[in-house]
Amino acid sequence: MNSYLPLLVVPLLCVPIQNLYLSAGQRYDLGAITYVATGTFLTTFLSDPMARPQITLLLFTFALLSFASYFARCFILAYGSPKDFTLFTIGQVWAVPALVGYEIEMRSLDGSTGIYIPSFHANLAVAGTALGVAGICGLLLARSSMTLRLIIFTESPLQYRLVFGSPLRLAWKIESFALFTYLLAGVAFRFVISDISGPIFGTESIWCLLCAAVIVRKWQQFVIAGPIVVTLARLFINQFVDSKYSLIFVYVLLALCLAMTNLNAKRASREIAS
Amino acid sequence: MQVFELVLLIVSSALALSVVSLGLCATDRCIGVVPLEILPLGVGSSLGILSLLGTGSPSTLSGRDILPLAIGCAVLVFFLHPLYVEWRLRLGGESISLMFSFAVMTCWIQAMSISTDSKSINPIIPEFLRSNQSLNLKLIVIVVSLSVLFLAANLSRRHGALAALQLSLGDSRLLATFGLSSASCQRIVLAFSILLIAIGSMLYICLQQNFSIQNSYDIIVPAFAISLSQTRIRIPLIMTVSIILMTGIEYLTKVSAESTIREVHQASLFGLVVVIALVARLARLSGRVDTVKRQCQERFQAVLGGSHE
Repeated sequence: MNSYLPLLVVPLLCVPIQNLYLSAGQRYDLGAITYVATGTFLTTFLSDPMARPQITLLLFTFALLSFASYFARCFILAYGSPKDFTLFTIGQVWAVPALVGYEIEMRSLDGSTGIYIPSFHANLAVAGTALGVAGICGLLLARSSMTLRLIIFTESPLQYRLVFGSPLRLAWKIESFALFTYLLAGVAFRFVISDISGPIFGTESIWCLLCAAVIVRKWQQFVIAGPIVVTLARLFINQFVDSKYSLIFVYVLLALCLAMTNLNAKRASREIAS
Repeated sequence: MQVFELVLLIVSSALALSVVSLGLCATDRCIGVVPLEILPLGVGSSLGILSLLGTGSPSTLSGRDILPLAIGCAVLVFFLHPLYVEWRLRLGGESISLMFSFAVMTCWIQAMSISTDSKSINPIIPEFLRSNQSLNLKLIVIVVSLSVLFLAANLSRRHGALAALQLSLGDSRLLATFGLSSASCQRIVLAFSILLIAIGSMLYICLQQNFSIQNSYDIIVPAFAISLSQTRIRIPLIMTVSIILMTGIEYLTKVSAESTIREVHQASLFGLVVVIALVARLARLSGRVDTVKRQCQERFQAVLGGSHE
């Protein structure tokens, strides 16, 4: 149980914003990993003075990457289609795990910098806090006009511009919220993991996306069930599937989930689709 | 001499990738999304064919390991492609089709990687092509790639199929003007694209010392980026973008002096291409491209007029 609680932390914290991007914006965000990794390295930098000389440049690289990604994502969110946003995040999911692996290897970090084995109670406290923060974030999003505006903007961008003006302000608000949430998830993640090697960040983005994707769009009130279902699936894969096949299982799960979602989606007119 | 070799390497790999990108562009124009699983199918079959031509030692990749999976992928593509056409018409369709396709592609690459035990192939190239820093080999790749691109362009122009393809995404009824049905056109384009991807991959693999299925992202990421930057199928533009992109990747890899970070460079440039393509689209929609074109034409005519006077 102690080793599975950490699996819950990042998906729990990321689910409100993932849900906003997916259900309200029809956008798939695989780029959470960029900000999560930055948050994790920032916490390592602050909490472990011994590792500071090695981790400074690594943190600088990721801060720069997060900065560039933030502006690019804001721009694409405001002026691009959902497909453009999804494509950009695919680039992020290709780049970040490779960069983490390379940087850790280059800086001679053994991946277990400042290693400590978190206790069960510490993990439980972090997971409980994450649940609370996710609830508050979800509540804030529900009470704000961001969800509604993103739906309007996605469905009819021209009408949105006529009524609300430039979409940049909306994009800036949403992306800032995403940056804050994902960084927080990265910080929390550092408290529950004992190493920071490349594979740790490998599929975290996919699991975050799956949390929002497994929930049928009509059942938005059960959004918190997503991370729990996904963590159970992760637990099953870690327990029963050989590690070399685990990545295949993750992507099969994603494909099945997307296929099920799309079968229930409404058919648009040909003009909207093209 | 070193600069010349580097230029030749960039041009030859860029042209090989242009062939792959042309295949992706064709499916994008015809179906509306790129079914990404045709990439492992193309790369897998080219690896299978090249390994069948090899010596067959136990340490190198055997065609028997990879060809059944490539055939399985072909069957999957055959069943999935009508779904993409349908899914595009659903709400959020393009995004979900893309993500589904990405998931299937990654699954298939992993499956191929496991079934081949990450073994690589060492393409059997005659010694006279390997000598002199593989200059002859690079020249042959350039000539073959250009021939394939020229042939593809010529073939599609002659039958009016390219025009039909460009129009088919907006309204499939327009295809009837050219005496083609939508379903048969899609099937032909898909087969044609897979063939182009296999040829392009084979040419790219021939330029490498070793190539395993895990290296297929070296083909997939840049080729996908090049196809994303295109709004219409224009072969000179595909070639230009691929040469620029390959120059960027080679330059970054040389600057960082680390080949292990090559995939990070590729992915970063992929993101950059998405942003640049979006900026170009916005500029065209807002009419700025036309304005700049008109101004350039006027200045050019003024310069010509001045020189005549």
